[in-house]
Amino acid sequence: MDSWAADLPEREPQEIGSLPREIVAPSERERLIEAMALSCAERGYAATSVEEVIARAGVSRRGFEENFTDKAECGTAAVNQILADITAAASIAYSPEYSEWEKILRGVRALLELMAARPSFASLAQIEARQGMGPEAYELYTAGIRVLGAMLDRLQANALGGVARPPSAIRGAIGGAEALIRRELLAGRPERLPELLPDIIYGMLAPYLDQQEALRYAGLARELLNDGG
Amino acid sequence: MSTSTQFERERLLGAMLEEMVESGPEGAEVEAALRRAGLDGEEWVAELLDKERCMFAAYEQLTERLARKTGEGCALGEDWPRRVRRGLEYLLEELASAPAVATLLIRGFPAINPAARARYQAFVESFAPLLSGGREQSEMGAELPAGVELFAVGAAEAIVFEEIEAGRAAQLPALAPAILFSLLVPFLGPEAASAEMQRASEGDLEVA
Repeated sequence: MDSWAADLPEREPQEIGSLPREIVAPSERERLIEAMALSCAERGYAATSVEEVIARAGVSRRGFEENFTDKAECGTAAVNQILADITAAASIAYSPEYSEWEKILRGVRALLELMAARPSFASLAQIEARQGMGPEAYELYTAGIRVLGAMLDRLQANALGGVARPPSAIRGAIGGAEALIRRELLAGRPERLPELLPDIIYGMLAPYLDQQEALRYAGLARELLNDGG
Repeated sequence: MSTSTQFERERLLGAMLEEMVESGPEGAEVEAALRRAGLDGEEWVAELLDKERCMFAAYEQLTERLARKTGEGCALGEDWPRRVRRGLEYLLEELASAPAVATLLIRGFPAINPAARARYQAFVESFAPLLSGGREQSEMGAELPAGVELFAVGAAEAIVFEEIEAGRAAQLPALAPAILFSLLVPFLGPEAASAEMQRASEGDLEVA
């Protein structure tokens, strides 16, 4: 997915390797999106101006206008990018060799690592799009939630039988994870996001498994964290 | 602060809340709130003439009221699951009684700036200690992850947020049993949480 490329400024330089600069250097559009995310994370979307975004990106006003009609379109593009990347990160973990439970475990881990590596984009997706931007960004946010919800919905088939679960249980399971993530983002501790894995795994699986089993997966998540495997 | 000053302050903040509901945080004015509250020239008002400060204080008053109502509900339950259920029902009734205020709570006010969004998150997190009794109730209490209380609160908040955002705040009380499931399940497991949801659907508290 090409949106991964836009992440380059927040990644370690050695990942770029020895590829020629014209291949790896972010485009103007990518720099503008990056600048929009950084500014929103620092000052909020409402206080972010096009002037600030172009200054931060090192792009001319004309360059901005060649890529976006206005601030809202640039903001929406930034939200779109991180949501696409989150979905892609979670999907990569969906290998057929894993059980449905392990897929969730690995998918959530990938998602947390992505957000830890790109905290400004994580704030944009988790906080600004939900409460600080317009209806279009909110719609993108809810679309992202629906994708994650569809992934969780697959657990129903293997869930503990004989239990009536309300349809809102899926939204709740995602919402619980979001609350933990937002706490770290708002406290300025994005580097701790991967450490949430056991807590999130337990909370997400709790509606579907008996507690012993959900705790066992939380234990596996802890092992995964400690081993880095 | 004297009782009468305290009363006047509450009136002003209530008026500011109404201003924010009617005109949005951008259009709300302290002067209009003062007129609405019937106040003029009181010395203590100076501290709230700054619009942002007044809006934050009004929001504080709103969230304190919601937390107090929730606590009152919790106090009525005879055991932990019912305390959670009663607290939830009181909160949902309160939100349903004023949908425009509910929208301001979750969307209008937090949209002001990052500090307002952090204030909303702090309000959400403030409910987590109300669930700590679930650890004693749970057979797995000692093994439950550290973040389980906030996870449960976040689960309920996400459902409530979406309903308010979709313009269905008035229907929130009908969702109480389903939301209760998400609040209880990390502590009690799916079978017990489902049974509590069923009891709540049948309204067994009213029968008892």
